[in-house]
Amino acid sequence: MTTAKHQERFQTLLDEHKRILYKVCHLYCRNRDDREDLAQEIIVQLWRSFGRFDEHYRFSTWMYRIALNVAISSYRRETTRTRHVISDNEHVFDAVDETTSQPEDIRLLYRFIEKLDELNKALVLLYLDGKSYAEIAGVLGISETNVATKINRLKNSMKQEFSSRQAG
Amino acid sequence: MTELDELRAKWEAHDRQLEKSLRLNRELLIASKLKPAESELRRLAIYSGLEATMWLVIVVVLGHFIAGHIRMPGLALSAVAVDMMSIGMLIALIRRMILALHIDYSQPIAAIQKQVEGLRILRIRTTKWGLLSGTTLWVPWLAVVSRGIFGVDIYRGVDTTWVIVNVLFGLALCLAAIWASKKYGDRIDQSPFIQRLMKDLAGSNLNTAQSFLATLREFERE
Repeated sequence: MTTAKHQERFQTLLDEHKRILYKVCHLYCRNRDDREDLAQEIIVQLWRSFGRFDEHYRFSTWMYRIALNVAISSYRRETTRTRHVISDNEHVFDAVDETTSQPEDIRLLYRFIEKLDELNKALVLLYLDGKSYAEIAGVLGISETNVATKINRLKNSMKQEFSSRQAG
Repeated sequence: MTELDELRAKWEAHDRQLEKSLRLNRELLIASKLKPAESELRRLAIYSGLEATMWLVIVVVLGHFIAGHIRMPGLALSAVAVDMMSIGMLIALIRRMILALHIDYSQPIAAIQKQVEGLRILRIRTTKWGLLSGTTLWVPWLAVVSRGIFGVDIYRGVDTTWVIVNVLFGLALCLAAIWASKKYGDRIDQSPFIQRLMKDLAGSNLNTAQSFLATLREFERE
């Protein structure tokens, strides 16, 4: 594949799966600047690894692994992130009206996920995105039964959280 | 149906909405925008390579120094001490470079995060022990550098007590640095680099990294 075609293929696949990028950045960063930095960092890592991507595998699974690995590593970094690709006037995502695009339930869900640790955040995101237990296990590197146990535990703690909110 | 499953359906609807409302800035994905980031990573690799070369040169020069001063025990022993420190720094740096090169972010999260955290622990320990041994060994360093560059043997003009007192002073300085980092590390917010250095010295970064490794192990357990 020529460099131009390779680049074109990367852009197309990334465009088709931009929601993954958006959701990962939204879950792991609180403010817009950090989200932009993380999105850039993920894109650079995806581009660097794209040469090794095996087309026989699902792009979404491959992208989830990279995006979540970069997000968790970046979240845990001791120093502040440095912007390294674009200027302050450019943004990875355009025309996103965050206030109107999120219903109340989804906002509450984001709030619940925000309280979880980095690893459980990844687990919930994959579950909500409709991934099977086998796929989640593959992305996280844990067993399927472990995924099932953790999902059940999270369901229970979420039920408690939501019912206490309703009672309050 | 549980709450999370109910929200799963709403999440799907939210997903479809995102698909429509999000527009990825394709301009940013062209090679000219991605290349600076690539070259920055290359620059980092070059810096690490240069640092490793610098320590290698120091180790070789110190070896030569030891051979040339074998009949002067004070200087030879000083050179052995600083050479051991330099060899330690060189080994740690090479290990870090190898570990960093082997991190493949497309691999499962639990495995990669363990590698990333292991690399972080190695960096913290190298920084801490580099700073502490450098401070403790300041007299041997001074003796070797003075002799190597200016031809001056500082041990000639001073007695053993002076050497011992200054080594002890170095040790006291280390303890004071650790104490100050523990006490004031959180209050310094001007420079992220200094803040990280102080947290490395105080051991809080190491504790955080080790506790995340414990969380990872717990996460892997059923």
